[in-house]
Amino acid sequence: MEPPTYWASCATGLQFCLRAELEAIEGTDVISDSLAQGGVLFRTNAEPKELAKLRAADNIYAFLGHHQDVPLEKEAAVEYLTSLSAKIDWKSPLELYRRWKQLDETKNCSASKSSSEDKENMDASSSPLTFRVTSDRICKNMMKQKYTSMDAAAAIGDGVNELLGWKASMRVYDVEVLAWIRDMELLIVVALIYSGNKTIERLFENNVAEEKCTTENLPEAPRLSEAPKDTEVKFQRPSRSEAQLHSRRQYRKALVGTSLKPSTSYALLQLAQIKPGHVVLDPMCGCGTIPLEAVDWLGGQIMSIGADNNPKAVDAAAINVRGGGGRGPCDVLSWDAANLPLRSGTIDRVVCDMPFGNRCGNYKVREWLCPKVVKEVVRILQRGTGIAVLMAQSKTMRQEVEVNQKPFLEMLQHILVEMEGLTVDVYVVRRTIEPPPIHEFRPKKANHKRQRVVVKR
Amino acid sequence: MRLLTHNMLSCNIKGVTKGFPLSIEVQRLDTKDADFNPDFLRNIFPKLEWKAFHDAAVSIGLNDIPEQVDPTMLEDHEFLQKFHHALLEVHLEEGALICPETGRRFPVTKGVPNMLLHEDEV
Repeated sequence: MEPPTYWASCATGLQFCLRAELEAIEGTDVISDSLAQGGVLFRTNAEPKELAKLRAADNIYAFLGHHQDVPLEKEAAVEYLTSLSAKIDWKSPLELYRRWKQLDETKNCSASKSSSEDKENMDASSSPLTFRVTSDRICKNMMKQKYTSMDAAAAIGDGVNELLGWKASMRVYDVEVLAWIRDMELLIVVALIYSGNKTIERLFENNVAEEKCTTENLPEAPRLSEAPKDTEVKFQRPSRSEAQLHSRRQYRKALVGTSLKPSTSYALLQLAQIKPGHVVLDPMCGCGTIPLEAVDWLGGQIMSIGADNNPKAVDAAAINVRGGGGRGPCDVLSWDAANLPLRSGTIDRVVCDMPFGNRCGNYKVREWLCPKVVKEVVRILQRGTGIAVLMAQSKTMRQEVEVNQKPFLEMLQHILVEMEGLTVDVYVVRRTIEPPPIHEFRPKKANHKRQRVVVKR
Repeated sequence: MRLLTHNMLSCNIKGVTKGFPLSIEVQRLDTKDADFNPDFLRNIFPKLEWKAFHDAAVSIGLNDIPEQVDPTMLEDHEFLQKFHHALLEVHLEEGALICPETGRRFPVTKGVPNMLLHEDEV
């Protein structure tokens, strides 16, 4: 029998890392990593347990279909999507779904014997399955939308309901079918790891049973800051970040607003070519995902340091270090990344996800801050060997890396990564042997004008 | 904070030329077991400022770190054990780091040094 087909998702642009990880698993056959959605399509006979260890994947799905001929007109598209489920071979993906679910349940029951899991078990065996379809449609190159993601989800749902007789249920469901539509390209999958309803039931159950099982024991621990306070939680859809593959990492206890995904930070660490005995620094670490992922991955072979200037982020990072950073040495500090209190030439690797997007800081501050951080990174990196992986979306920083610091930084790689709908630059640079410039002390000018920098992409 | 981190920290107040090494004021120390990894120690050794490391170890009450070392000692298991303990297992939980030039105190709370500067120091 042919091995089952999976789809593992990651940030668009970083598939190479996931691909390499998959190719290392025996009996795995990578089919494609260049679909419109970021991720890798592969066939494997490997045990779910082994796949659940993947570091570079956000989530794992059972593959249903990939089509390149979705109509753009609403009526034709609805008809096409309704008839879609008849074209899918459901047997093998559902087999896969059951296997994974079983695994998940046994794991949960052994971790905490609460009544909710038992109830779930019974439900799954007796009544027909309930499902929901989540669709995400984006027009990149084509004309404006003629139908919405919701329309697409409804049409696919109709088809599934007619064919398999499952009942649709938006909030509490067994199966989640996900469909991504990019222009005319469609990818449709069944979630294996992510299933939000379990988290809801558990949160609800926790309230009723006066929190019999402590949240810390659960593999998918809810965010500390958003701990359930009243029964209203029942009506909230949980955030996806709470129930993904990477949320099982032990150190992920306290998050901040724009926490980086561990899968992405793993890919960044891969780019940095870390060797045993290195000191890895993230001068803007937020809740410490990058330094903690580094020690979680490489253990005691390296030392990692994370720091931030935001007291909330530093507190979260300290909690995470205490909670799950026991695998290797990791220290947390509070400092200003534009003025690092470090000796020059002491750090081997800098891996930094600088703030971007509109949820963290604002454009003006970042355009001012990012180049300053680059200057500091140049100063603290070891000459000749130090490598920095910098992720940012800033024009002035691009100018700084590519032009101003050119004698000191050799560009090894420049990757464009798409995250949450934003295109972000990832620079992999090596510190050259060039000695640092000697800064002369200049008194501050009162009317110092900043020049506007324009860079052609 | 571990002594390894202390070995890299330097005071960066504007105008300070000799901000290293910061002296340590201890209120509470903590010892946590860490995996012993001789390769890591051998690789990190050349990057350390040994005198500063020795002085820091003495100031927090670890007197078994030798003042002078040569690379051959890195093959000695007993020395590596001591080195490992001082470098990675002892944490400064509460206390302060003090700039040698200006005497500015950087408080350490719950193991996190606060190196943020005031506006007039940048």
